[in-house]
Amino acid sequence: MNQSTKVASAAVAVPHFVKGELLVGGGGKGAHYGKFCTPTLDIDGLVWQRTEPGPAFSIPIDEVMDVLVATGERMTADPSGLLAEAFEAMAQVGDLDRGVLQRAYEHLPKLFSKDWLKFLVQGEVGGADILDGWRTVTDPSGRTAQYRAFPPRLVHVLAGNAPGVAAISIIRGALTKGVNLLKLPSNDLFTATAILRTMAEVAPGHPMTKSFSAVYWKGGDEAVEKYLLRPIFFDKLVAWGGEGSLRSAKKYIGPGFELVAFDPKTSISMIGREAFASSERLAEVAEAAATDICLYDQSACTSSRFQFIEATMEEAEAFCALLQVEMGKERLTASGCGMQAPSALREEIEALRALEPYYKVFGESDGRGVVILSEDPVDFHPEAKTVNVVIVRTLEDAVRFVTVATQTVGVFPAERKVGLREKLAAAGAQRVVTLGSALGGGVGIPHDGFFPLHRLVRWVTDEC
Amino acid sequence: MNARKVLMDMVYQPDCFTLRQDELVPLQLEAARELVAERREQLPILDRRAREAGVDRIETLDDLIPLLFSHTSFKSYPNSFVRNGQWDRMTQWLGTLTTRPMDGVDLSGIDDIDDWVSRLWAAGHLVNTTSGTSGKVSFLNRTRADDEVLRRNSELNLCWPERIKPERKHHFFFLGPRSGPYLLLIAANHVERMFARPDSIHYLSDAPLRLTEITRMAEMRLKMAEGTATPSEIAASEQAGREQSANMANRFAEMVRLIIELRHEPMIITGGWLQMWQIMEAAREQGVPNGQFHPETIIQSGGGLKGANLPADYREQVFEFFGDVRTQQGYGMSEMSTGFPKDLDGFYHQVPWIVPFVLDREGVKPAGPREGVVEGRFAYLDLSNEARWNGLITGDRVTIDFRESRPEARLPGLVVHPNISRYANIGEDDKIGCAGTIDAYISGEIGA
Repeated sequence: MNQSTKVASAAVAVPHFVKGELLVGGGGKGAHYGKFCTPTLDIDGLVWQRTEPGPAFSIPIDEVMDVLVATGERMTADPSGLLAEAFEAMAQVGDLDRGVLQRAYEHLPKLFSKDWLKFLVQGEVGGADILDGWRTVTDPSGRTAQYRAFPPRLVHVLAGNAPGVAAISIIRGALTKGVNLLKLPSNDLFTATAILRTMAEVAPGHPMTKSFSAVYWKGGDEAVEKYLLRPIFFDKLVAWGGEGSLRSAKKYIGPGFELVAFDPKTSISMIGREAFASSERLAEVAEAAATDICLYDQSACTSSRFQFIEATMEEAEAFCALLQVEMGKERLTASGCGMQAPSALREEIEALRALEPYYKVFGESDGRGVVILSEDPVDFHPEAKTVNVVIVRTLEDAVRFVTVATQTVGVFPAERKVGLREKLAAAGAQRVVTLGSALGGGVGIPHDGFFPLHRLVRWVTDEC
Repeated sequence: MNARKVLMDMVYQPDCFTLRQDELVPLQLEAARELVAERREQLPILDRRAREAGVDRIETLDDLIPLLFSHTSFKSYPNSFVRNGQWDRMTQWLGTLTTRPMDGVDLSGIDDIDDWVSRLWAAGHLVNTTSGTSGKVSFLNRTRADDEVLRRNSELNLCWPERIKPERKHHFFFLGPRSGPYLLLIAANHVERMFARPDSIHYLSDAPLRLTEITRMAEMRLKMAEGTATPSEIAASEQAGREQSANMANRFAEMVRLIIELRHEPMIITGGWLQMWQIMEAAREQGVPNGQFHPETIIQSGGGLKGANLPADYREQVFEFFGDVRTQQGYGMSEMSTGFPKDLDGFYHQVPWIVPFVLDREGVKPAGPREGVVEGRFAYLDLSNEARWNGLITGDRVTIDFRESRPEARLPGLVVHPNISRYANIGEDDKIGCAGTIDAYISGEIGA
């Protein structure tokens, strides 16, 4: 066996899903990306030309929902083991802890329930009628107009830090009834394909499955993006975070090809002095704070990274010690012991450890959680279960650390939200939650400052 | 005599950059053992690292890998210390990375970061800094003995393998400021004192290089992040950079005129590739043909092109213009005491007191055994530094050739191949996550 075939067989084969068909590569053919390989990309097969409507453009929304619900049910039962296979592959090559990934996978089908689908459509476009037909309005001059949410042509650049991104992208893509090209990220090469394969099993040959493709190319690859990302083929690029992918996509954005960006974000927490009312209360607050910090082992935009706290130094130290212990506990979306922090971050932490009393570090960089107590926020981006607790005089003082990149602000106690939320919004924040509730949301209500389904569809009018 | 001193004294041997591994490695191992033991006593940060990694004994060179730092270490101070003028805290931070006591540093009445650096120098901490493109500069402490290693190597090995003797007969042109804490500049100052004609020393500017400029830009970035910057402040910040370049342009033209006039005499010209290109263009405009420079002229160049659009063969064109002159080029970085000098076939040769490593992409494990030709991430342990522990993992992707000789090259010894590139930064590996920072919204938006 020569060197190149050895490499090829060691690489994980990543299947593609193109318009309802499964493509499997490997065996020395196809494209190789080090640890994995894919089928050769046929870029002609990835577009739906505008000379004809998309396959699902005229499917009634009820039928779309039925297929989604059936898909969700089959994902739960998983008789062909498609989700199980994807889960195993992810567990081996992905970055998420096995337990966290497993619980995330178990949660995936829940989004496909009828209740959630209806809530999403009602909340994000104001009702299902507008996805099937025309809504009539009359303006003050007596002139009438009709408008509808018309199926779009979308390219989704998926994020891979949580498998829910693939699920919600497929749900929204299906509800638009448009055509959807999903660009897989290298940190989740399997979830989207497994869901689409399941859909193809419950509805073989259905126009909805023909409206989806899920493939990998290396983000920024001009040989692909320069030719695919054009208004003659697609209306919008839907990008989840990923500064690099946004920068590369920016080149192609122009008239007729719009960017819908779920921008990269940072989340924070604000803890009022009420936390110190009793030791029981403080323990509850530490647990709630740890829950928000450790979401997906702190890989999500929703994961809190800074805790601004109204406290004396002694109070803050007591909180930090409790918080560090809580961060080492396994939770729904957190492992007890996550990935070790990257070496550059570990060195930043060690440097601060040596700077006592200006900085106080609780815990070790061993994946169980590190808390850094300081009077100014640290310069680096805390990740891999690292959090910076910053003492402030009042929570209002902490508003100056909120920027346009701030997504979620978790507040304790809940009563303080009302006094803070306008100030937080003015500074750039998008989402205020009660401390401990950062997980979830974003379906049927605004996400990252807009109603996603509303942004995905094309609003067309018929006026007289 | 200890092994470190033996290795460092090899600088006096004519064949010091072409020695055999079986001669070097046993000495390097012994020197590393001595050094690790001594530095662990002096630097709690290193001791902690060694304990965490479980490094008890050093049997092979690869056992040193867990003790190598990332470049972040030397800029791990909180920016707020600089912003708030907390120079005592900055000094304390530098102390955690320094083997020498910091109590001799006069901390009274310091105005800015340049002031702080001068006080460090006055107390014998001859720190050099990096250029701070990320908005934060590294502070790399050096003792006088460390500075002497740098000086001595220039004295003995300038233009290796065709060495030039320090006879103070060269005109000296440095296309940058006269002084400042960049290693390139410190090295140039040494070369000037040993090689330059006392009557013909020319720097682009007599004003010292100021780090305050860099901290000003970092502050601007912070103001933008906090949302307190105004549009005109952002514009003014960009404008300040442009005006500085305009002032420099006049002085540069003056130097180019002098260089062209003196081209038949030996001179040392040190500057970036773009500046070399500009000298060539100016000379051509005046009708100066190729190959007119004195054969003992030394061209030292390096660095990136800073966005300038030059043809792919710009180096070849530049050397065609200067003609049959000497060059001094090497592979190194601000953190290393001595660059690996380039031979006439384009290979960079190991310096005896620096142990190179090739690591995997992640910078954790060796990319392969220390034999043959190995590609991977470059890391090194510099055994010479007295002031600090100088083991570092870089972002460079290199090919190291451990063979004693190779058919395509004239000189033996361990070398780094010329094909040096950078590993992708975080985010460029196509792992996409929804988390990110304000930097994404402002980076690249202020003129550097």
